[in-house]
Amino acid sequence: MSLIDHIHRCQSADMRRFLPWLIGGEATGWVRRDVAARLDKYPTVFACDDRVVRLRDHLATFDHRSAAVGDVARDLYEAGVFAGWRNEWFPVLRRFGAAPLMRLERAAVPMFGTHAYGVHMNGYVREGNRLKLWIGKRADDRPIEPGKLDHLVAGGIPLGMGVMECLTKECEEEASIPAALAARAKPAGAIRYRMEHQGWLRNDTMFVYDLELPADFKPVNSDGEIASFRLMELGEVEEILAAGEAFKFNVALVLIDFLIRHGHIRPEHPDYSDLALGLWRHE
Amino acid sequence: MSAASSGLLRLFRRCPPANLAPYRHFIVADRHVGWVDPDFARVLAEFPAVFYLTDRAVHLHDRLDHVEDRSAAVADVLAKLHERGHVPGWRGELYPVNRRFGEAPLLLMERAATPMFGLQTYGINVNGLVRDGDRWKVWIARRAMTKHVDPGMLDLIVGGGVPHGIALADNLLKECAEEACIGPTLAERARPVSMTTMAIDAAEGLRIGVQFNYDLELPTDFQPRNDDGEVAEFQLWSLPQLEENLRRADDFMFDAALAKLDLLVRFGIVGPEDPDYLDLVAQLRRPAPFVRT
Repeated sequence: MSLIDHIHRCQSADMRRFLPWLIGGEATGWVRRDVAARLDKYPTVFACDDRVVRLRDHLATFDHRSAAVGDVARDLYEAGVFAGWRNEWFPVLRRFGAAPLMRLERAAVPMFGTHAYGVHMNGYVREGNRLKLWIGKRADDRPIEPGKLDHLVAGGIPLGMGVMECLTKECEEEASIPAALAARAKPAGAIRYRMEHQGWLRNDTMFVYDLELPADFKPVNSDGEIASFRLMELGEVEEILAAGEAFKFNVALVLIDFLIRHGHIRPEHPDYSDLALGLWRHE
Repeated sequence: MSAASSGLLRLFRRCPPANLAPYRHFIVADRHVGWVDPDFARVLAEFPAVFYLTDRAVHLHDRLDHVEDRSAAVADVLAKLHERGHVPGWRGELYPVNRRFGEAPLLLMERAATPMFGLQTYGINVNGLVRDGDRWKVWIARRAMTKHVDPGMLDLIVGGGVPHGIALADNLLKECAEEACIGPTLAERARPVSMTTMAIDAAEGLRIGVQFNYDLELPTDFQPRNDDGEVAEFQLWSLPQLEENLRRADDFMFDAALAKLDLLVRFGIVGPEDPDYLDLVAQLRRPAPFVRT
């Protein structure tokens, strides 16, 4: 295992296994071929052939699309096609910031392969010239990647929530960082990956933030998602990354980005170019 | 000026990614390492012991199977072409031909010829930063009106190509000393922070580049100085001033503008509230335009 394997792992989707899902004639998501066969059983909602899955054009508004696709998603959930219903809405977007085409239950997003957006925040402490990162350990009962190492704060951006609003909320819930401190978080870029995870497609864009925390700050998790926190030297973070998959898959990308931006992974690293460019999946 | 033209993507409208469709692949040892214009390909075909053409590609002859043989044969051809006026601006510097930084070169080639072969070249950029309370200012250089390329345009205070045989760190020290009189003790504090890429059309051919960007914190009383007459003046700008310029004007050289856009993203001056944010990030991370074999 080396750092570049995290890039390969998160940029791994074999798109031959998927059909584009079109809304209003434009590709908006990706559906596995066997799922397309199931969607074909709902001809008033989907029109499927061997190349594409189309949402029927009569579903022309946010409400109509959301209701019709929502019913199908519920059916497939109850039939056991996918698990983990969350009762959280994610927007279906063709471009971030545009008006959502519809809303979709969060657990159904990977089945439709639509773009999901999230925030990831590196919480660090300065000690002289050195930086240390606060690292969380995910609770053992998490549906995704239980027990893996995680960021101080991260979360998906639900329907109707702004990026900074989401970050502030997650700061409070995941690490008890008060709003006034969270407001000091600085955007530092974005990462896009597309991977097959547990058979489904993760088509994710992560907005990356850095927050410098006071030396005496101690994160406390209040939503039960993180079991414990620890302050780590950057060298240790890199060693753990290079040794295996102890970190949640997408957190590894955000950490590689942090290590590059802060001069810890340098251009002399043999995989530097592939690491730097691997942080963005182009369409 | 319309609102649409005040976005940070204006740089990529001024210099869009090159359309490589008309070009032929340049192949060395079965690897795609460059792009050759069809007219120049016909000129190269006059040297059949060194180059041969297929439908879609220009190949370096397979008989040349070591870097030394390839480099010598290509240098002979380039010298003849230079006499015929085909390789303007001869520099006498060899650049490595490979597909990623640090890889053993397949061939070494005169710098001035690299745009004609559409080769990937490597460079360093240094952002000269000065702390201003909890904000930052950045040193900007204006190129002398006598410069051959982009006279009078805005530039980084330190930047340059990386020739074969010099380590990045050494190249950085050399450029810092030559371009802004930054001594080695100070220059050693420069920190690598990012990589940006480009593939654009330029007067001299294709500019396909990988740039390693460094941040260097300079003391508040430091004044950059240029001794070789290449810089007309240095100015210290706030980051919002830099952002405003990049939104409204086309004053920066392309590679300097890339490094500065990257700086604005990394320092959080531009954030997700900008409607072009994700497109901007994507532009800064364009993959190299080579077919992987």
